[in-house]
Amino acid sequence: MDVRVITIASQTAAIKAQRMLRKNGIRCRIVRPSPRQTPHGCGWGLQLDVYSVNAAIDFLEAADIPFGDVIIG
Amino acid sequence: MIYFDNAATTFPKPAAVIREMTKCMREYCGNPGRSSHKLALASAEAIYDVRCEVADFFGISKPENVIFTQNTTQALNLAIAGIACRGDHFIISNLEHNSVLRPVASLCALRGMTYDTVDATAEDADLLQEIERHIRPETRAVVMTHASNICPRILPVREIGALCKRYGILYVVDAAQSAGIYDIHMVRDGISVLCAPGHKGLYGPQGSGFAAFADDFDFERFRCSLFGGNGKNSNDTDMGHEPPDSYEAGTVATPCIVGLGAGLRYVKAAGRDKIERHESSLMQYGRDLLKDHKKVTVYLPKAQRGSLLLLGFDGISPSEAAEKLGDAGVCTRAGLHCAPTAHKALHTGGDALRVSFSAFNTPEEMEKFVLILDKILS
Repeated sequence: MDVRVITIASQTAAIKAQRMLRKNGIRCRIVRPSPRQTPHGCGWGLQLDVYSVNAAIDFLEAADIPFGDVIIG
Repeated sequence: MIYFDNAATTFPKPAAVIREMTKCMREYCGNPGRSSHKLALASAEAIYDVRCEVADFFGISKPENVIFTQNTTQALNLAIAGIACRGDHFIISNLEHNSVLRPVASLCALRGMTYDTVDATAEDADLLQEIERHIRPETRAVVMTHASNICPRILPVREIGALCKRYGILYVVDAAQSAGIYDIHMVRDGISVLCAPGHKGLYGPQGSGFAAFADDFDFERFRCSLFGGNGKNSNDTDMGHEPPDSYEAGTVATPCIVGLGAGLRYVKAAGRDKIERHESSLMQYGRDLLKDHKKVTVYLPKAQRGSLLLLGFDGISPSEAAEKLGDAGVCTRAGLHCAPTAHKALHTGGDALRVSFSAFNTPEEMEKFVLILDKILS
């Protein structure tokens, strides 16, 4: 499966996002990207199928959950 | 043993609290917010669940606005230091615990702020008028207790909140003696920050507490007062302004937070309103048994609601009476109760005996207490 990671600054926000996405039928797991992959070091991410990324971003924006770059997972 | 020191910390704790804390320490309890392995995530998920439960119980919709602390004092320090800026003016009451009085007074000295104190022993309408009279253009916040820690006085939170909203000032509530007992809804009551312990009316363990911020609270202007690692943005020296992580430096107390969650579920199952009625009826029963005693002074004898009684005695100091009660197996608390201005307002002479109740106390215990006290006084 081709996966991507939507970066999120905090673990609390990552859990909130994961639960919200699950309710909307998008499966994802919380991961810890390498500090080199996140601009400020030590961030969090939601790893998900590449085809779910756009839908997930729409849901995150609608729920006002802040997120960062989408990186290769 | 009769435990009447529940205003200090409730005892005993519900079995579910001990069970959940033990389960946490035995089965998961990784460091939340640091790693993504199973145990760390299990801790983080358990903490997030409690954030959701606390937010829901107190009427806010953003679980991330619940910032865990070790106790109410830390929560109040976080809130007061976070909002205070040079030149600000604060309003507090004369019934405040030192957990409000000291941070406000210290910040006034450190940051060039000022504060006024209003008389919270006055009738509700007079109290509201006095608060309004003290509001100035530079007033930043009203910081006030919800329920006194020494006497059965419950402040009109909703009306104070409405007043603060009208003037566009923040309302910080010290709910050390009210969370889990009295009805609190942050939106309805206009509360900006609710500071509460886990280990009193919510029946959790010592080491748990929180500051819950209103959904529309502006964190961009809110200063951090505890600095350190939080598992995010480690390359930055700035903590950021993203609740809760920016304000929870260091490892949080996962077992205590999980215990707080179990305590909260106990309160919900038992019925907060039932607990309130039970404690108020114990207060009234004790007061009625003691009010005509020749050697006992009952402070605020006309109170209709409350979870505690404050007593003074003829012929023996309250501290000495507390010692003797302790020897007879009755746990109470005497002294100043960390609330010197409240004692002054009530004219206790700087020492009084507090007896305080929980869901676990009974009328029979009250009768026994009165008999033992009578023996000590005779």
